[in-house]
Amino acid sequence: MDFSINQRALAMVEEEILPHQEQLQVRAHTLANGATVIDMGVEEKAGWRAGKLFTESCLGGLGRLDFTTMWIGEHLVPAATITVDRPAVAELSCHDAIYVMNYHGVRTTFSGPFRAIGGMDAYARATPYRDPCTARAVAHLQTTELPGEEMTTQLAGEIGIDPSGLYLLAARTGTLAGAVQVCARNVEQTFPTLLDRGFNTDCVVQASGSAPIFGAVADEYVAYGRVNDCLIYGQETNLWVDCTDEEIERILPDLTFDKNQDIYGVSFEELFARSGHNWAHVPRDWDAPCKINFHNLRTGHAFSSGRLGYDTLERSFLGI
Amino acid sequence: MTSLECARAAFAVLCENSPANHCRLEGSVLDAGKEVPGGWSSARTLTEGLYGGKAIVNVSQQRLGEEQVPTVEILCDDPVLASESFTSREGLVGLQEADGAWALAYGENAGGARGNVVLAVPASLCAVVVEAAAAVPRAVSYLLEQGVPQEEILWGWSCCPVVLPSLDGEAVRAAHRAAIAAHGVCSIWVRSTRADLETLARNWGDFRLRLHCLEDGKTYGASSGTGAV
Repeated sequence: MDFSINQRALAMVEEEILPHQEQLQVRAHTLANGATVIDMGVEEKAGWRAGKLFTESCLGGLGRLDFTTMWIGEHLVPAATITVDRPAVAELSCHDAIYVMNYHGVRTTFSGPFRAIGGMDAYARATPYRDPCTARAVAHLQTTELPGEEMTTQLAGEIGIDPSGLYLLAARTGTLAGAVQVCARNVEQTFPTLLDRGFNTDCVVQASGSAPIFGAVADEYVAYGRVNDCLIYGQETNLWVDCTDEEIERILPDLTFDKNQDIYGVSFEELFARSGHNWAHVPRDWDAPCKINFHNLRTGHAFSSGRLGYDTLERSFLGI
Repeated sequence: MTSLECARAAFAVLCENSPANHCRLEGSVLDAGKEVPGGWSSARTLTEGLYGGKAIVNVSQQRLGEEQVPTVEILCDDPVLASESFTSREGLVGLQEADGAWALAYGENAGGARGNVVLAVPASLCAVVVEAAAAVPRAVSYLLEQGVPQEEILWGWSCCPVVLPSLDGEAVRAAHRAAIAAHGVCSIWVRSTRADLETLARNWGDFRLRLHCLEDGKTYGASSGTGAV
């Protein structure tokens, strides 16, 4: 595959973000080590369009975020609808927030197309795609503090590039751009789950997904809970696959969040608190997609797993 | 690009696409729904320009009763600018240059306006689209009048139906406003510690107004019951 998802993401950064910082209400900082850190909603206000560009660059230019709508009870709310080309590459090599860097003893998780350079983690290595562009990289970080020289130097070192080739986009969770980019991780959330269950993700020919968008709250932990409610109780993904029906039926019973019958309906804010506000302590089964619909192109059969949790979503939306 | 540049660029796009977009250009005045029908593309581009490029404008549809009705969704990054732009000055709304010339103006009559002017009558697609797109700025103007500081108003979202039942201006106004009142919804995100956000939201009667407060994480004005308080 002779295309570069980092170059595609860089084109978005250079053409759609950097020249339009004032309009997008974002700000780029060139650090002393040459790295470019773009504040997409850490200290800057940012907004809808910044969230869209954060997402689409994080997909390596292989996907699109459209703003749609969704009913939650009597409430019409905005929703993030994702469509991706080459779903396994776009999600597993790129969009998934999987790459963990130990920074001053803290596990710091990055997403973005840089993960495809050499295959930076196990999920990126699960696809055969490797980015041929190895000089410049685009990374994404959900954070409350703008990354500085030390972090960008370390990350660039781990990627194997000079810091001047690194473009790091950052947004906090509790702002609109942050909420948008997390709620847009609907198809994203599905792929590691498939892979963990031994499903051949190269069988996924097309993918789309949607989730409601809310959760812009000043308290980062509350925001974290709300946006994850949007995913575990509000996300629905469609996968068009080319495989046997048996391969789908094998993984179907254990796939979606509703398998957690003991905690289904509990807000993620509460679940995250039970985990000590530490992702490392969140049971893997709690980070599961809400609903997945399989459309088997080989057989014409359809399969579905999971259900939307409207009551929990409504409470989360209202903040009660 | 600045918002004024975006507004000018929107006018340039409208002109470049005329007459294919069913608009008509005479000097620096573009007829987008007065003597000619105009259409969706020009109405959408005009709306984007009126927001100074700081909003995403989606035309979609929702099921209202038994019918699928077109809707305009606005995702606005600068609601205060939108409020300024959609406030009528001498019969026109839009964005003005420092010298008073219009980077982009919209109204029914140009009068003696200088600059880039787009015209449409109330019984036109252009007018009902702009009206459906104006929920965010209308709500923000209301909040500003109620004393909410502009720095506390962060982002906006709205979804309102587009209704064009006839070419009778008064009938269109009445039907469209009734449809927006019944089905329109607008969300404004505020960073506020005011205790009366629920009252503020409920006292607005032109469409459903929801206030999402970043400080306490609650949504006000959302439900027909007791709300978030």
